[in-house]
Amino acid sequence: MRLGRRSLAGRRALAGLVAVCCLCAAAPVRAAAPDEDIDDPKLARRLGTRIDWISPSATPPSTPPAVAVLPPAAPAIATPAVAALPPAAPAIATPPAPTLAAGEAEFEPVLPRVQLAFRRFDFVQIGASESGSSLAKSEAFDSLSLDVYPLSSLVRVGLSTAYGWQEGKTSNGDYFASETASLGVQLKAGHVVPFAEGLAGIGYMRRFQFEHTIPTVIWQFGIDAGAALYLARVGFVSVALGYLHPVNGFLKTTTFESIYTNTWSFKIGIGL
Amino acid sequence: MRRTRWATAQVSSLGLLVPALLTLGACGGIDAGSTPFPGTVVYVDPAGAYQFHLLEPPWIPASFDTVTVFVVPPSNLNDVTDLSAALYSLHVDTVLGTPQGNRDSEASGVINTSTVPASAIQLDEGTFQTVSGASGDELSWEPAAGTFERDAFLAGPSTATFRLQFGAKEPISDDEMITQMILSFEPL
Repeated sequence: MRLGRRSLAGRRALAGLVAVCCLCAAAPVRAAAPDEDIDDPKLARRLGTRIDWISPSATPPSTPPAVAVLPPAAPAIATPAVAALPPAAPAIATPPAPTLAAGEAEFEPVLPRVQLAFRRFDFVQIGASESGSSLAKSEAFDSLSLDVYPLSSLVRVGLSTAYGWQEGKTSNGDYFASETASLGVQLKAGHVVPFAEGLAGIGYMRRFQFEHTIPTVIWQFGIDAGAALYLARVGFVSVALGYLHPVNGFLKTTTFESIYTNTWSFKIGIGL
Repeated sequence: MRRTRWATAQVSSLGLLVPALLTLGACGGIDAGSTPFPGTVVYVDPAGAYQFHLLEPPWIPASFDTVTVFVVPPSNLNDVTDLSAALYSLHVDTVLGTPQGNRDSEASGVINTSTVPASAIQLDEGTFQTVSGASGDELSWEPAAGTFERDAFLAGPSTATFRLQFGAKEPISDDEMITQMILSFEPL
């Protein structure tokens, strides 16, 4: 009897072991098989149709079809597949560029409000000629100006108060003092603000002729084009190339006469 | 945007500047880049012997013993009665001989009559050609301390030579305003 009980228990244990082994051995076979009904009608009613369960370990990691069969409306599932792409993928290399562009656009310079400037241009020395020429001798002028911009945005309006002197002659030379209005446009382009403006001005000019002071009037029209360079948000250095039409009017015996020329000018300045 | 009183004044001044400039701009003018001797007055000899350009003012014609002399009076005077008071002076006359002969003879006279050694006298000699095409010779020197002379000789009609005698209280050998007066001289 004892032996018989042992034998029964051993047979039951052996049957259970065989069943587990059969289940384990049958799993890959089921996974590979298409959908099919459960054989036992009772189980089939309770569990429904058998489904396939594909183990991740059973799928090759870099197999493209795994991404292809995923539904398009499931980006959360697609993400691991994208992360598995090689490092040369463009989506990973792109981000630094927009970061720099955003930093550049954030620089907002304070547009010019006041400027101290130096300008140089050529005019003529009335009554003087160089040997062999009947034309008036060229006479260079240097000038310092204080420029104020009451309106400074895309459009800028300026007023320039200038003092100029005959090149190389601080005394016994010609000089002028003038007031000039300007109207122009400027563009914020990061650290550089390019501008172009037209100008018109009028003033007093002292002509020094044969030890005599001859009072005359000067007026001018012109255009300037240049750029202001900002090293900080407030404060700039500007450079401009101009084309001027200065005119000098004076009394010749009893009549008023004016003389003009067309000339290039160069202007540099610093300002706030 | 808030406008300050200073900005308002500046913008208002534009209203004065613009009409003033438009008025002046409509006056026209003389192109200094193409017009000979701009801003000068042409003086024509009453006898019709010559003409030249000068700035008037400050130059004015004055008569001394029936001789016409051009002078620049001191700043505080409108005219001069004594030629030595003039800051600049010009006397035009004619002499016999060639321009170069007259120039050389004058240089010799300066050296011979000078009270200082010949080596101490600074004579500047040169030649020039006027805009009308006449060629000439000139001489500059300092006859006395603070007095300067510059004479220019140009060929005139027949055997006559025009002599332009400039005197000044400033060095004038390289004065480009005097040079223009010489270059504009034209025998008629």
